[in-house]
Amino acid sequence: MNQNALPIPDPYDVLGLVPGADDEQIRAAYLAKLKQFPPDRSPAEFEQVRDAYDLLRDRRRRAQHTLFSVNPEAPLESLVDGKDNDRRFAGPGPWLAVLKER
Amino acid sequence: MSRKQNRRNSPAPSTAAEAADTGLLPQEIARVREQIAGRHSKTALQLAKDLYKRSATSDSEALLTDAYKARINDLLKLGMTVEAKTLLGIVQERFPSALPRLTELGREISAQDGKLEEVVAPLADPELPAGDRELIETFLRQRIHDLPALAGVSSLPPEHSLRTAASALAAAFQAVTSGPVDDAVLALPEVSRRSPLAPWKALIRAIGCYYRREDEECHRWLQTIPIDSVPARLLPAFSAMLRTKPVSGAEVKLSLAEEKLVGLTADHGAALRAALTSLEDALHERKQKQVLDAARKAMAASQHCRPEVRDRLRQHIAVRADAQQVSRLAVESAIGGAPRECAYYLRLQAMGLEEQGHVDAHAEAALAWAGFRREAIKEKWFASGGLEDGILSLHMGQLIEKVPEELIDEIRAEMGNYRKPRDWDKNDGLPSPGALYERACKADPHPEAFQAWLSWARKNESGALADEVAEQWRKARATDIQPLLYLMESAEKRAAFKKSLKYLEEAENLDRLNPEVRRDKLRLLLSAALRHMQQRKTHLALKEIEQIETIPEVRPGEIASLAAALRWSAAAADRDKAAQDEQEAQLNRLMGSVAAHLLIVSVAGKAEMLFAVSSKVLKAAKIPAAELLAGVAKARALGEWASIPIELPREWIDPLMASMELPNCPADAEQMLVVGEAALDGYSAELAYTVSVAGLAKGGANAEFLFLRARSLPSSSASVRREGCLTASLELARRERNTALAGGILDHLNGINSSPGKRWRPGSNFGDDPEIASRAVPPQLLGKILEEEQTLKKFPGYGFNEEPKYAEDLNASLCDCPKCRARRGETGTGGYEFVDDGDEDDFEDDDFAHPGGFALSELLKGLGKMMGLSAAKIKELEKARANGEDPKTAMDRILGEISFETGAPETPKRRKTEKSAKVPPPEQGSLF
Repeated sequence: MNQNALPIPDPYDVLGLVPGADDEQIRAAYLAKLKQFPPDRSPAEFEQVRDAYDLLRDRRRRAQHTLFSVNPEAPLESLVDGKDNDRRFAGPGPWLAVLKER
Repeated sequence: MSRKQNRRNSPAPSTAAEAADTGLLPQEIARVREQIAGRHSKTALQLAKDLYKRSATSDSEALLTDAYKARINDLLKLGMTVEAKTLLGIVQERFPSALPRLTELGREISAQDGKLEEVVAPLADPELPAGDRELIETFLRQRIHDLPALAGVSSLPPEHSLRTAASALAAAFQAVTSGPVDDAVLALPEVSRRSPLAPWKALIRAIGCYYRREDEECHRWLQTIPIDSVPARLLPAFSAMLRTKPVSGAEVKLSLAEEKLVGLTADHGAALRAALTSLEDALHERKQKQVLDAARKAMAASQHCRPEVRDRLRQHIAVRADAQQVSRLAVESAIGGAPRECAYYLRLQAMGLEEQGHVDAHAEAALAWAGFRREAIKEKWFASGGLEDGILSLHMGQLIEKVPEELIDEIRAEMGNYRKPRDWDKNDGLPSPGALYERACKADPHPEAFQAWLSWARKNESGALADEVAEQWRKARATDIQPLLYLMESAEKRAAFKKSLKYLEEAENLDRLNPEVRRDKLRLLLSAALRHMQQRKTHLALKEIEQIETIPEVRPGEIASLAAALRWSAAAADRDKAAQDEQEAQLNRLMGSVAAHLLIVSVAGKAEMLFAVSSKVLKAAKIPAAELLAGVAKARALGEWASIPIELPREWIDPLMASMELPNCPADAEQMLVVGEAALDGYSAELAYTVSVAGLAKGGANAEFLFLRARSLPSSSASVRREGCLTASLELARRERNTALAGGILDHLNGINSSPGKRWRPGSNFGDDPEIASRAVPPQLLGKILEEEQTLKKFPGYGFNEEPKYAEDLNASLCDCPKCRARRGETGTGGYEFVDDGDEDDFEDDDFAHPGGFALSELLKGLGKMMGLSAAKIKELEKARANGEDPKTAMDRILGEISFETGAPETPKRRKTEKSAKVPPPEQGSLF
């Protein structure tokens, strides 16, 4: 796999589904996304949605995606991007604990 | 303190005058102040009391008051509010003049006592002197951290600015520390610049900027916070969070509460990202020590991450390091333990191993997939026997098929060493491809799965199993043509012709127009007709010919021509000369005399009627070139379609060469290529070469003609040119997206004979390197090869030939990617080394040194290994060469005595690596 190629978006992410969604859920999500990204107004997003739906509606292709979609050469940073990296909110408690010290 | 101690501690007055003036000596005063400064308030108080008792002056009273203040402060710090309050009361009673100096203490006690109302109550009086107001506000600024309490004090009216400010600040502080906030929350118009709570506004804005990652702005707000205010207590923590120097300039050790705050809120992501980037670089550079160091740092930098994220990191790092063959134990030590062997990890491991591309890794990948399957079913990724299970089983079967049998046996034997004999099932961890395909077809009865199973059964097992597979396929998918075609072919091979026809009929019922069905029908009927002619049952053969005549034509005249040729042979069998002449005339009309002659001779040969054609001679030299070439092409095309080999008569070779050498060769490219292939089939490498000269001169199909030329060049004397032509033809085919040609070239390189069962012919793979397929071919090299080959119009022969000018550039173009280097065994580090299979028939180079100055040893070694020739045969070939015998004749003579098995490509050499086979340790339980 080419580590430098643009990552292909996960079809479940594109349709806003969790893995394991059934045919009905996939179709409903597709129709919802179509309303959000109609082809005339958002052609790029529509194409992504369409590709995602084409993949997931075919049970065999869906199963192949489930089995073989992970990339062992994926950049390690992609494992932590967006997760646990931001400055976390801790509530007022820890701040006040410091303020109470003289 | 005892009187004795007092006397000891209280030095005698230095001068009588000083003692008379103050009653206190400077040293005594200094000593008390020292104790106060050193926070020994109890000692200071006692000393001050003694001094006051000795000399009750205003100074000693002031000193005593200060000592009391210090003592009360210390009691407050210890949380002993009651004691502090009591002591304050005593001091206020005894020393009323000290009241102003004790007011702040009183406020402190009230504040600690939760009686903030008492502290702020004076602020309700608009007539409060400015100095008093300032003292209270200073106290609020320096001491109060409980904003909600301040917001709720009953001693001030609700609309009092202090209460509204405190309330707004409390709400904003809660919001800004709990989640993202809008600018409106940070505006805080209720808090004026002069308010004692103004530092809190700056703090809240600083916190807001921090979470928005506006670090510079955050820093600016922090600088506006007065150093003696309560919010300033957060400055050291902020320095750590922003990774800036503290305001004081000196490193401050953080308290536990500060460390906790920093640990919870600081930005650890940047450090982690930097560590992961270093790890990526180390993996790319393949330096083991760097990889381990970087992995260690990355895991350390991920401490703030959730456990599942750290698990993932560990798993991915382990697989990536494994691909670089870093010691597994060392990696596990660096990443803080073995990665969790869940389904996700085993899948990752399997895919990583597959990426490595060599057979050892394929075997390990298959084991990993087996482990993944087990865990995935346990973790409910999919059900056993479900669609995913089927697809996975198919994939595993295809993977294991690539692994040589001896390696599979070796792995199974090693796995057996880890198991108790009674638990051991040899196929448990590494099932056979057949078992996997069977499982795949049960779970996912898709043509792809059945086709894989059938192909495997045909290659590896008896025909009975292959038939069974085809029957299962037929039952599972009644509308698929392929199993019927296979069963038909299988029945035909067993001479069960009726059954074969039955299957054909079923296939026709499903899809009469399917090209494969039509082709197989023709083949079956043709085979039946020829067989009946051989048996001299011409009446049956004629019935089959009639059925052949009903098959729809693709090209007009082809069925009629074939039928005419067959009828000619039937007439020959019946010795009916008139009918023979009639059919021959018909054929001449349809195809022309050249094609008709070739077809009749070939069909008669298949029908074992050679006696009937022995006298048939067509003098090719007298036929115009255009007609000759077109006729040959037509006959070959028909033969290709009907699977009847059309061979060129030997006496036609020279006329055909002469036709090709004409300045304007009348044949088009397609006809030329057909003649070229016919030449190779007819063992005439020189004719094939001549065709390639004409074709390259004509231009337009350079890829095809270069491929033809490559196969016509003798390996013994023109191996570099062979390599060059193959390289150039493949590259051109790829660029032109001629997938059929590219596929044909790749099959040739992999030793897959397009005509199984054919004897060796000049075009066969003769040690051509499959690595040519992965060669990078720059445009300049391609141009050089084409240009030079177009100038080389003479067949090189079998003697010594100079290397072409492009030879050096050709050698430089070997693909240098890690996978190709690994395949060639050139990894360097990592411990790949080729192991010679220890062939008994290994030859020494000296045995074959040619007196003319070049050695055939390399060629003959390749020949020996590839064709399974014995040393005796090789020596015979060499002897023939040395005696000056024509190489074509010699090879024909010697190799014609041997039957060859064709079809399966040579399996790659097994590479032994320095590491032992990666067999999972026994504690992995039911994998075995």
